[in-house]
Amino acid sequence: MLRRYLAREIDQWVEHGLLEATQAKALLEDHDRRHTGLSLSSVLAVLAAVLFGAAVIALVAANWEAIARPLRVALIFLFIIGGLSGAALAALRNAHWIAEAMLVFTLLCFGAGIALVGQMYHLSGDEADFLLSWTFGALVVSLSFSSPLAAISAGFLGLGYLFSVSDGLGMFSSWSGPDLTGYGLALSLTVAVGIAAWRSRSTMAGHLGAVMLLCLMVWIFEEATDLNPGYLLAAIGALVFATGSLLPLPPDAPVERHGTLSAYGAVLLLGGLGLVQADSDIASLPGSMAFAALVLGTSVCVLVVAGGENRMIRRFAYFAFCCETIYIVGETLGSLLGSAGFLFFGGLVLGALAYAMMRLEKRFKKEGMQP
Amino acid sequence: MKAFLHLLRRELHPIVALLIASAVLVGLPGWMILDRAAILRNGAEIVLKTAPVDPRDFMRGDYVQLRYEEISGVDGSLFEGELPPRDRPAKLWLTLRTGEDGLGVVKAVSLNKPVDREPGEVFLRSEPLRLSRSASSESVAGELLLSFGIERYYVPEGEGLEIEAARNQQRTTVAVRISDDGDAQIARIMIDGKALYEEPLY
Repeated sequence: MLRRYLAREIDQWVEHGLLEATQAKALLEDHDRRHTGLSLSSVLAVLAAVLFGAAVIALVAANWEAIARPLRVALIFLFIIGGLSGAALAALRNAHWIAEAMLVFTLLCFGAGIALVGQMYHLSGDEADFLLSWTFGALVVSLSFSSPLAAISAGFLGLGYLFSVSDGLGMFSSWSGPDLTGYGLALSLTVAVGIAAWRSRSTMAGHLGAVMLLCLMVWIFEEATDLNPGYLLAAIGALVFATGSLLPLPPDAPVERHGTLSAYGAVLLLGGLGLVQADSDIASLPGSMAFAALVLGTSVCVLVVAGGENRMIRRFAYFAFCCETIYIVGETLGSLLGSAGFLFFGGLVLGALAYAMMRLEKRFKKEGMQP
Repeated sequence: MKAFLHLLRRELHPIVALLIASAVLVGLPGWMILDRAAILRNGAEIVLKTAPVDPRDFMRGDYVQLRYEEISGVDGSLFEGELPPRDRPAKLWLTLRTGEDGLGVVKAVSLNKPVDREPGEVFLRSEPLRLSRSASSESVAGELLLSFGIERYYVPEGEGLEIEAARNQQRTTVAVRISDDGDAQIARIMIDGKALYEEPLY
């Protein structure tokens, strides 16, 4: 995505005479040389590993009765050790994507192995137990091999575990009351996914870890209180946004000013407020209008503070602003006027909104031009 | 802080990574198997009668769902000793002994592992259960629905029907072995007292 964006920008610069065509070519080549991230061949290698993993599982499962039980176990162990050895060999030869593909294969075999052992030896256990073991295996692989794909797998598996152990984050559970051991385990998994993401330099796994942390908090909140989790999300969002955008950070801090942390904060804050609003039972019009004004005000504040620096935050704040306006228009005008009047005023308000946005954007652009 | 984050990123030599990952990925399923074998080898045996299962739960995949007449649903009045501090998940201990017909019966239920063991008694630990005490009294209300990790028995496809039919006529009995820690494993499945499946250790 970045490459496409970069290529488009460079084309523009060439067109406007800011860059020579040869320079443009050199720039793109330099970018391609340093960002070999996800080339087609590596994607194909990982896909092949997934297919091999599936084939192994199918093969073992199909010849189930013909193979003696200890032999089946030995086969599974052999595949696991074989996959890991292949990964280690590839890593020694600096073939990182081959190593990654091998590790994906290993993790598939491990997951299937756990399931098959449980089945062969009649070990009862629910999905949560199974996902926990699998997540644990993915974490060990990611941490030992500094593997980004294993870290991402651990993130997804960990999320699966979290949902299954908490009955959908406590929302479908008839039980309400704290389960401290469960929280502790989920928290350590989340921290471990975070460390694995850091070690393997995987942004994606980092996001998954952050989502796990949020899910964990929603789960605890849902079980410990009767309040809407929107309040919690909004509170965390406000705190995180303030940390990322307002707090004076040292220059060598690992978080960027108006960066990812702020973006998380903005999304959580506005999303949380939206959740509260959607679920609120404020019956009176003035009450719901006051809340809507709060949401509008918040999105403008977010825009003013970080909108100029971060495109993601800017877009999300606009989005929230528009949704809120449509909500207000629907709530107020719909009840006071007929539908023709509603549409007319709705159009008027949205037009005014668009004008205001344009002015805002122009201001941001001007500020951006300053040295 | 920076040094710590840096340390976190230090890459292991691939061979070291291989050794660690192999130990865990093979060790975990291996431990599951060995643990079970140890229980089968050293555990105390008790024979339990199965109970009919709601037909909707019958065959899930290719395992037989097992319910036990004595231990899957235990009368709350058998509960002895102190209750958990709050309504939170707790593992319960069952004191079992073999009755005159050779089948296990529950003598008592408690929160902690019983200290004194009379000859012929076996202690079985349940999976965590959320106890709800009756509103006024300090006792456990109603029937305790317990599970022990011995509720599934995987069979070759299609072979489960016989066990299920017999189970629903209450002719199926299961011999379980129970370790000192109260963990149980299925050792034999029997119909009319004759062993249908005998579990090898490995």
